[in-house]
Amino acid sequence: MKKVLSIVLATTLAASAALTGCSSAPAQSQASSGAASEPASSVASQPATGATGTVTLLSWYNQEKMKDVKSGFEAANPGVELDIQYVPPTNQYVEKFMVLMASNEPTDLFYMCAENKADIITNGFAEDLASLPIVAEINDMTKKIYGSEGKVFGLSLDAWVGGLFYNKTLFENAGVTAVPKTQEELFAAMKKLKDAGVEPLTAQKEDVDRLMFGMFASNEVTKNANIEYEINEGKTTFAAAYKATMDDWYNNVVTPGYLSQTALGLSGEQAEEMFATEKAAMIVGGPWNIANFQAKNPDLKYDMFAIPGKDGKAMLQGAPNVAFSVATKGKNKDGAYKFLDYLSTPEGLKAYQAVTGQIMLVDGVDYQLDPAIDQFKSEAVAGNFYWQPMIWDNSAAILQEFNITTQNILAGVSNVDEALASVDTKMADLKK
Amino acid sequence: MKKLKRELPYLAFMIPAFVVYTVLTVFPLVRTLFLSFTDWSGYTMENLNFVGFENYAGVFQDKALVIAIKNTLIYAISNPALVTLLAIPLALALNSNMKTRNFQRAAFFFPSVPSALILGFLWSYIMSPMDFGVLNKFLGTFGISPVLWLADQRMAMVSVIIVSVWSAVGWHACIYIAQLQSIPVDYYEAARIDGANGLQQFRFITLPMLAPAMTISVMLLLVNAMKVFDLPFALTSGGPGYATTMLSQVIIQKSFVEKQYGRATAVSILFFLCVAVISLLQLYFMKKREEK
Repeated sequence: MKKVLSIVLATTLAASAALTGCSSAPAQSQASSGAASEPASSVASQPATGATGTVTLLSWYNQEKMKDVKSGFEAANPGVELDIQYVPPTNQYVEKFMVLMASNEPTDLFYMCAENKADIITNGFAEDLASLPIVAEINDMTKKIYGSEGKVFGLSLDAWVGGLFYNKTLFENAGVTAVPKTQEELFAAMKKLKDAGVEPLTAQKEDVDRLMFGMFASNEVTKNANIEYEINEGKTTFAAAYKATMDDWYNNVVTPGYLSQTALGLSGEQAEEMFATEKAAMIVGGPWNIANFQAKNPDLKYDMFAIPGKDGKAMLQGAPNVAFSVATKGKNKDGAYKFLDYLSTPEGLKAYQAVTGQIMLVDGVDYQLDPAIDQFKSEAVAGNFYWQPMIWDNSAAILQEFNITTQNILAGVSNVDEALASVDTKMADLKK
Repeated sequence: MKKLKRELPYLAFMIPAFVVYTVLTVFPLVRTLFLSFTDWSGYTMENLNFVGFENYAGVFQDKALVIAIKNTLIYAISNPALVTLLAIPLALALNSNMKTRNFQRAAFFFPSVPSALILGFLWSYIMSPMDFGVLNKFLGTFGISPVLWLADQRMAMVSVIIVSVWSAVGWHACIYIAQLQSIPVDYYEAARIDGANGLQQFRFITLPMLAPAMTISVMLLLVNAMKVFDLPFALTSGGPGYATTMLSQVIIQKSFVEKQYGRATAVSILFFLCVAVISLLQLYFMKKREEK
């Protein structure tokens, strides 16, 4: 009996091998062994012809938010249905995207973001969209971020900009009468707030490094716009590039307790609540915070300013939003291009702006923004914003390492030199 | 032949479960083992190159991995120990003739019902380091200044252990209650006649008779503690720094964040072997204790 049982189970084991890893025929990989800046060859974008059937979109905005985009596209393209497959950003989205690519079942359209950009370009997953008319309207910085060697693999229609939200009432009460225009003025404002018994700055545990990144952009990127590219290429290191800024941040923000260790225990919602309920005077953020501020305290008087540098130059934090890409192995490429054509129309742009709530990078759309963000519209359209992770190779891993090391600094178990050495070690390890 | 005909229906019922187990567990494990010796990109199985033990070589030089192993060991030792120490007295109390014992059993069991993610989210508010955190507000009524429950490296690990023990004690007490109810009453009667007091009855009757339950309970606690991910991630995201980062979180980060799939699969295999060895050793020694 035992023998029979063993034979039956072994046969079942072998037979069930047929069920594992079921997928379509293996993808013809175009992987190159180079870095993300050396893309695999991809087909130049084709003009959309008669498209029918279903166009699939792996979206990180849900079906409810995208309903107007969907209905507008389908009305403009009878016979074509837009199938929106929602996965929440960011890690879940990237994981789902990877699974679909690995099983050779890509959606016709997907989002390119900082976390999957390098993989998409290196593996040739996306079509070159450079010849699309709307791409010509996008600023060069955005095209460079989502492209390589003159090709554009992602169409980003909007951008987020952020900076330091501040509480006008708390500023007034502490005697801070003007928005800080230099780094020294910012530190002086923090001191006044602290002396008045107010927490100058709050942050969620994942964002304790945001102020430091903003200071770096305003101090260093304004002098050398290619500094992060130089780090990628090994011409300089994080330790060399970031040392001065991180020392400033540590000596003038962390040591005096303007950003306290309590931030390490705060979630995003809790940090927003601290700011909205006037327990903290400033928070580094962006448009995604505004609805929560208003929900928690409709009477909150707030505004935003760009994080200033030493000499008065200020670079907004910001980045192009996630970009639409057309899958090279998609089943309905014509439909995908039709969708991008629709998005390029005034109606499509307006519907999409309502989804993202961000600043559009192209003209022809009328929309309202919160005044705190609206003041930076022209800067955003001109591409005058900066967010380091959009440029780093292995951006998610480096950003995570920066976050962990700055948490360690705030917790008092590490110093600036150790932190930067750790980030450089991580970069070297990832390049192996 | 007669025997086979008789056993065939039982075999037939087993096969679906066996197929699911094979497809979802055995084959992925075998494939992971294979991929740990390659330079898999995570996206395609084509153009794989065999790299030998290269992925295994750098495992213990990785700072994050070494810290995660240390954190996992601390958690895997303290969590089962504390849960067992608390679950047994709780089981004794809930097995006594209290009027409210049914309600109390439900109340103590309830924390094990919600998912660890929900518990982590809720406790992150309770343990908020600001003075509006419920726990700090409670301590404030006694004049104790706010504690950095989740913002201090040591306290963060203590907080994770507190929450995990709180959520598990009731469930494991139920295992002990079931075993307590199977102990013949005669033993206690005989012990009372012989003059044994409560403590002696517990030491010489109750505790030895709880051995089978303890084997199962400790094994479940140990295995779950070693592969824990959701509660620490929900409560602290593995921070501050790496203070509460566990091995399973590092494996996920290595693969999906750092795209080091080869290293991640190598660590997974080593982790699987460690858990298997520790579980087998634990089962062996506790079974021996049972037999005693």
